[in-house]
Formats: sequence, C-alpha cells, structure tokens
Amino acid sequence: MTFSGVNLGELIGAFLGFFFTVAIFSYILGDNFLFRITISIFIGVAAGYAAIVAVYNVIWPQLIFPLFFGSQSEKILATIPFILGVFLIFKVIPRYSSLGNPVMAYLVGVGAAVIISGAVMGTIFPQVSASINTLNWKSYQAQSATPVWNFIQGALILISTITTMVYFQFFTGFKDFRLDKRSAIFSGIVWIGKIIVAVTFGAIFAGVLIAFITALVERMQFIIDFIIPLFITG
Amino acid sequence: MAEIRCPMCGKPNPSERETCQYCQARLKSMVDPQLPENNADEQIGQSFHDADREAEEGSVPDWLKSIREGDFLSESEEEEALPAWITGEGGGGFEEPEEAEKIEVPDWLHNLRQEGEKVQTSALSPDKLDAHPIDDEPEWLRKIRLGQQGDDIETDRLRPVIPERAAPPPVEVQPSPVTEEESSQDIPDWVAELSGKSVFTSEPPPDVSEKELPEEKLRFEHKEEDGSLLAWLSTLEDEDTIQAEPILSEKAKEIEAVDDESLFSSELSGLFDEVDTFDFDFEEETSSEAAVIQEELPEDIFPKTASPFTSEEELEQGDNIPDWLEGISITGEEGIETEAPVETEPESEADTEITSAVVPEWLEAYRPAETVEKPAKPELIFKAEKKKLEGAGPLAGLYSVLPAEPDIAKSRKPSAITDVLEITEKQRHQTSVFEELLSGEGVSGIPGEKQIIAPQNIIRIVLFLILCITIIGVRLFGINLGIISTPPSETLDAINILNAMSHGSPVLLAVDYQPGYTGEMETALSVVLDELMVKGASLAMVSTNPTGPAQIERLISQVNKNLGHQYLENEQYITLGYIAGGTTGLNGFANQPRRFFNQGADGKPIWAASWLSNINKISDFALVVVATDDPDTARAWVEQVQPSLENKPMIMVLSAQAEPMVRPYYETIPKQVSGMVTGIMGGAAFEKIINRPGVATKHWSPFNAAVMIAILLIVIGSGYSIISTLMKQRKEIAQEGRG
Repeated sequence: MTFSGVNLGELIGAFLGFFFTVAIFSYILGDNFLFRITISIFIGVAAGYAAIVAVYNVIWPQLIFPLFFGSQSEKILATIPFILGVFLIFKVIPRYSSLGNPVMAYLVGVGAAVIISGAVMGTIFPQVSASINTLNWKSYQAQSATPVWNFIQGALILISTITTMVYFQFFTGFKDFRLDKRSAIFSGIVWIGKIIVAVTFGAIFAGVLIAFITALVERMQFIIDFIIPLFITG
Repeated sequence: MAEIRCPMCGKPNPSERETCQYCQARLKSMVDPQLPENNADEQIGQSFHDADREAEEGSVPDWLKSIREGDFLSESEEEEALPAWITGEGGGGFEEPEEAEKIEVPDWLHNLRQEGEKVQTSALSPDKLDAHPIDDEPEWLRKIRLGQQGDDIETDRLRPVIPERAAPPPVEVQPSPVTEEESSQDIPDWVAELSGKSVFTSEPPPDVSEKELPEEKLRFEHKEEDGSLLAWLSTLEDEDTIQAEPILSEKAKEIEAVDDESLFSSELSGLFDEVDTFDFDFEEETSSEAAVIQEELPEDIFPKTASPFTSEEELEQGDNIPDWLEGISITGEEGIETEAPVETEPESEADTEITSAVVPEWLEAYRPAETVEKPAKPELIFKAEKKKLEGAGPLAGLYSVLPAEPDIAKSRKPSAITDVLEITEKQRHQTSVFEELLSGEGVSGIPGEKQIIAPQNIIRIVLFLILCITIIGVRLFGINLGIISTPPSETLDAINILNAMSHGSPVLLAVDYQPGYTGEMETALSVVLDELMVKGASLAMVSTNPTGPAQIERLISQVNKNLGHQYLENEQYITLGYIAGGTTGLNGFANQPRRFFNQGADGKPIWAASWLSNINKISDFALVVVATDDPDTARAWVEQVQPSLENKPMIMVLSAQAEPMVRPYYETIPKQVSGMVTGIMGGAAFEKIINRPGVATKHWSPFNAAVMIAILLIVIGSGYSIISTLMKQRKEIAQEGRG
C-alpha cells in the first residue's frame, strides 16, 4: 500500500481506520476513553445509517411514494400498512399503547407462523430425512465413489444424533431415564452423547477463534500496510 | 282477619300468634297479653277495674273472674274492716292524707288493701274470723286457713292471698303516699329509723347521696329498677304488711315484702310455667334470700318462719285446690316450676337441680326449635335468655328482645394481637441465616492492595503481543507456511456450481454480515465475487441487515480495485436494498421479489434493467449466494428461500463460527446448501483451485502462524492449569497428612 496514487478521501479514511483500530486494540489495557468513544461512534454511525436506509429503502419507496404518488390501487394497498403503522406508533405512548396491541398481535402472529412453518418444512423434515438416509447403502453407491467411508460417516452422524438426543432426555416416568436409576448401557449412551455435545461446542469455539484470528490478521495486515508506506515513501 | 304488628320488626302477624312469625319477637305482653300494644305504657298501673272490664269481655279465665268478683270486698265493707290506725281514727300507724289517698291510691289498690286487712285480722283473731266469715271465700281456701290456725301467723296470712293475686294486672310502681314526715309522727323512733330505709315509703333526701344510703335500701331500689313489672307486687305486699302488723318494724316489713313478693311472683310465674320450659327452684332462691335477711333481725320481733311453700305436705292439706293451682304446685323439694322472676339471682340457681317441665302439646309446637332439640339442658337456655333480659322500655321484663341498635355499633375491645411470631425452630434458624446474609450485603470487605495492572490483564497483554508479533513477523519476513493441499468438499462443490453457471446469468447475492466481520467475510467472499465477475454474472444484491447496502458498496469497490474488475451499478449489478421484517420479510421476498422491491428511493423502477426483466420469482435467479456470519441468518435463508428455488443452487459464504451450524444443511441428501466457502480457509482453498491468489492467500500464512500460536497457548494454558491443580491437591494432601 502506497500513498502515491491515493486520493485525499481514501487517505483520510485510511487514517481514521488506523486510529479506530488502535483505539479498539487499546481495550487490551482495560476500559478507556478511546475504546468507549470508538464504540460510541461506531454505534452512532451504524444506527444513523440504518435509519437512513430504513427511510430511503423502506418507508419512502414502499409506503410514502405509493400512498401519495402511486396509482389508485397502490394507494389503497399502501393505506393498510400506513394505518397499521400509525397505530404501532401509539406503543411508545403509555396512555395509548393499547391501540398498538392489535398491530403487534398481527406482527407476532404472522412472524410466528412464518418461522414455525419454515422451521418445520425447511429444517426438521429435511434433517430427519437426512438422518434416516445416512445408512442408505444404495444411495451411497449411486452418489459416491467411496460408499464405505460415507456409510461409516453416516453411521457416526446417526449415532451422534441419537446419543445427543438421549443425553438431553430427563424423563422421570421411565425407569431407565431417571438419573439415579439409569442402567450401565443407558449411562454409556448418555456419556457418548455428552462427548458429542462437548465436541460440538469445541468446534463452535474453534470457529469463533478462527473468525477472531482472521479479523486480527486482517487488521494487523491493514496496520502494516498503513505504516510501512509512511516510512518507505516518507 | 285481625293482625298484630310486631313491635320489633313492624311486620303484621295474625292476632292469634304470640310470637312474630318473622323475627320471633313476643307479640303479646308477658305481663298482660290483653293490653293493646299501642297504649301498653299508659295502661301499666291500671287498676283491677280494667281487669274487671276485660273479664266482662270474656278474655279473662273463669277462675280469675271468679276470684276477682268474689274475693274483692265492697267499699263499705272495706272501710269497716280497716283498722283504726290505718284510717287514722286511732291516731296510730301510718296516717295518710285523705286527698292523697283519693288521688294516688286507685280503687283496686284500696280494695286490695281492705282485703289484706281482713285477712290479717282474721289471722290474728280466729274468733273474729268466725264471726265475720267471708262469704265468697272458696271452700278449699277456708280449709287451708282453718288447718293452718295455730301455725305460724305469717304462713297463714299469706296463703289466702294467693288466689286473689293469681293474675294481677301490670301496675305502675307508685311511690307510697305516706310521706316521711307523716309517718314519723306516730311511729316509734326505732321504726322511724327503719322506715327511712324502705324504698316504698319515700324518695331519698336530695342531699343524701346514694353511697350514704344503707345497703339494704340500695338493694331494694335495685330490685325495683330491675323488675319494674313486678314492683307493684312489692308495693302491694308492703301495704299488706303495714296493715296487718303495724307493730312490725319497717325492716320486718321489708323482709316480708321480699317473702310476699317472691311468693306472689312465684305464683304468678307459675301461671306462665306452661308457657315456658324452664325449671327453676324459685322457692329455694327466695327462701335463701329471705333467710339472709331474717338472720339480721331479732327473733323477738320477726320470728324465723319457713317459706309458705316449704313442702308439698302443707299444700296437700288443702283438699280443694283447683286444677290451675295444682299446675303450679310444688313438685317435691324442688320448688315451684316457674319462669324466673326478675329479682332472682342466676348464680345461685346454677347449683339447684332442675326437673324437666311438662309442656302441653299445643305449646310444645310453639317452642323454638333449639329448645326442642336440646331439652336436656334447659338451664343453659335459661341462662342465655336471662342475659338478654330487657330492663327498660315497653318491653321491659321480656327475654330475648332484639337489640334496638345493631351489634356492630357496639364498641368492642379489640382482640389482643401478639407480636411474637409463631415459627418452628428450623424456620427460626433459616431466618437467622438469611439475616446474616442480608447484613453481610451492606458490609464492605477489606480492600486489598490496589494493583495498577491485574495479573489477568498482564496475561491478556502478553497473549495479544505474542499474536501480534507472530502475525507481523510472518508478514514482514515473508514466511510461507504453505497452502491447503486438499480443498474441502463444500468448497469444491461451490466451485463446481460456479463453473457450471453460464455467462451473464443472474445471481442473487445476499450480503448479511455485520461490519465487524468484514475482514473475515471479505476474505472468503471476494474470491467468490471475483469468480462471479469473471463469469460475467449479473448481480442483484440484497441484505437483511440495515448496514448491508453499505457493505455491498464497499465489497464491490474493493473487488473492483483489488482484482481489476469494472462492475458498474445498475448495469452489471444492482442493489435491491434492505429486506425489512427479518424472517417474515425474507419469506415475502422469496415469494414475490418484484412486489417486495418495487422501486428505488429515487422513485425509479428497480427492475428496469434488461437482465432483470426475466426475473419474476426467486427461482429465476441462476444462483443464490448468501454471505453471513450468523448461523440464524443462514438458517432463515435455507428455510424461507431455499424451498422456493426449485432446485436452483444456493451457496453459503460463511464465517468460521457459523460453519458448524450450517454444515448439516450441506450434509443432507438432497443438499439444502449446495456449497460452502468458509472463512479464510475456504477462500484460500478457492483461490488455490482457481489459481488466482487473492486476499485469502495473502492472509493465509499469518493466519496459520497465529492459529498455531493460539493452539500452543491453549495447550500451555491447559497444561499449566492441570499442573497447578495437581500441585494444589498434593499440597492439600500433604497438609492433611501433617495435620
């Protein structure tokens, strides 16, 4: 990175980027003014930008413009969300907050319906079907060149799924499921499920660590690219 | 049908009822049921002439009518029978003024007084009695009188009076017409002294306080106040006593008044015995009271005599006792069964044995239910009703009178509330423990030495410096730590999908990551975007994150600048904008993308570009690329959009932290996610396969070095933790062994 072919705007942006990066790193020494002001600026800019996006990307083109400048059908269609939105504003006024309850009920109901239907059709059924097909030898033979390995992998996935689900069973009505009266076999299955859960959390933690190290590497690379040209070209 | 209005509740009742059918209050007066209720007060104290008039109306029983008609002497006979000391001729005894007698003494009282004089005279001189027999005297009474001659004078004197006073009308208590001055003229001094104690003689001097009065006088006055209904009886008795025995002292008169009053009251109450169910030994009560008074008197003046009805034998001497008298006769030694008069003391009755009464059937039907259910304990009922005795007003003398004022208006002493908490010992212990915990909250501990930098901060700084030095060293010294030899299968699948895509195909790119993950996400996304630009894909870019549009602009500019592309907005790519509503908005966009994004902020139609003219639904895109750092966002895209793609591929560009959660969607058969490019590792593998080193390859060596250092630090830290724990345990074991 050299400053020879960089315009002023990019230069100011690079400087601010360096400053705020160092300010964020200063949190290593503890909570301080630089970290706090950087965080505040970041949150303020993000919120302001989100508000601008909401106005220019949602409210204006999808509500105001069709309501005042759209066709007759567009005006009628825009009237409904406009009224609902007005009632929703009353939620910020405690005295009239009850007027916004129907709108909130509508939003919550629709949201719950969408999420539940999507979870059932998009996650549960496909995942259950995939767990069933993990030991489908014919499908492995048709799709993979290494059906044995895939079969073993499918078996591990199935065992991991079953043991993990067994681990989270805390029934009291069944004798074998009770913590104080579990048999050795059942305790072994639970122990395997516990190991699977621990490995899963370890993998997630490793992913988080890799993500943070990647961000650190990118930021350190940015600092190096910002500082070195200063000394070289200086 | 005549009705009687209840004096308590005011509701009308049939005239034949004795108690109110609504409140069970007594409708007819206990003393004289024949009196109208409206002027009952006025008729209290009316003479026997009223009773005679009532007898003419037929409401008086025959026996009572006969007694009243036969036993009362004419006025002339009375005057002849009056002794001289009463009439004033002799100048002895109590001299009453003529005018006062005309005004104050009613006729019935005058007749009664004359009758009493006759009886007393006959009792004192049998010869005179024989010479002047009473014509209308019943035979049974005459036998009793003759049989009792020679006995105690007082006993014989009282017996013939009984039938005469069987049904006395209510008489208002009248003070004696004999004033104190008049009576003190002709009586001895000692009588005068005693006369001052009689309540019937005169009112106490106004200047004398009640405390200074003799105890006996107070007692008599108290009795008069309590039993105003029967006070007239005492007056009559007192009058009789004065007429019959002028030589007796006033104290003896008072004692006899008690006897007569009790006797007559018991007889009167015997009439009501059929009405009430209480067994009360009135004779014993009155006898005991009289005995107490008699003991205070000298025997030469007032010889101790037995009660007129001391035994049943004495009553049995009379053969012709009428039936009504048999009904009130003495039953053995238990005395007369009667309702208790006002003067009786309830405390002394508790010890007496009470026999059950014989109640007629017609009356038993009128009894209260509780009385019928518990006949074995009549004394309890008696006591309960005795407590509710009305002492004043027109209902004076009645039991169970409803209070005029509600009970709630009566002030009561509040129940004592203890401040001692009744808890168990265990609860007390737990309370003390809880109190200790609460008290410890407000106590600040002893602050330790203030340290400029805590050891944990030092470790954190050291680790940060180690990682920074490693990254900078690798970068500055150009250390190459190699590249991934075998690319992940999901990255290969992603590359294969991109390679299979035709030139200029419309691609939907979702930039759904936070600005903080830009460094990692751009490492993987830039290579994918580079490949798409190489393929000449038309990019429609959206985001469910409000900062997404800014991220899109930055990404495009960085790729154009770093990888040499010249992608222009609204030509090669277009930013549809922010998808509001989260999962719901994403579902709406997947179903109707054109309606969801109708026009841009400037009012121009978004879908005006030529390459977007064929896009009417989400499945019209050749490829959907989702770049996100959040597994929930990835799952929302899979759940809401992937089912609408109609077997069109979906590629995920993920952060390393989201990959474990999204991988199941890739592992399914059929795959919900066709390929994945995960973090810097996926980007580096992608760049290696397409053989165009980019940002990922640039960051790969420092990244590998930092990860190795991080793993090494984790291992060292874990080993140190294990060793320190073991050493601590050995130290504790050693200390226990020494101890």
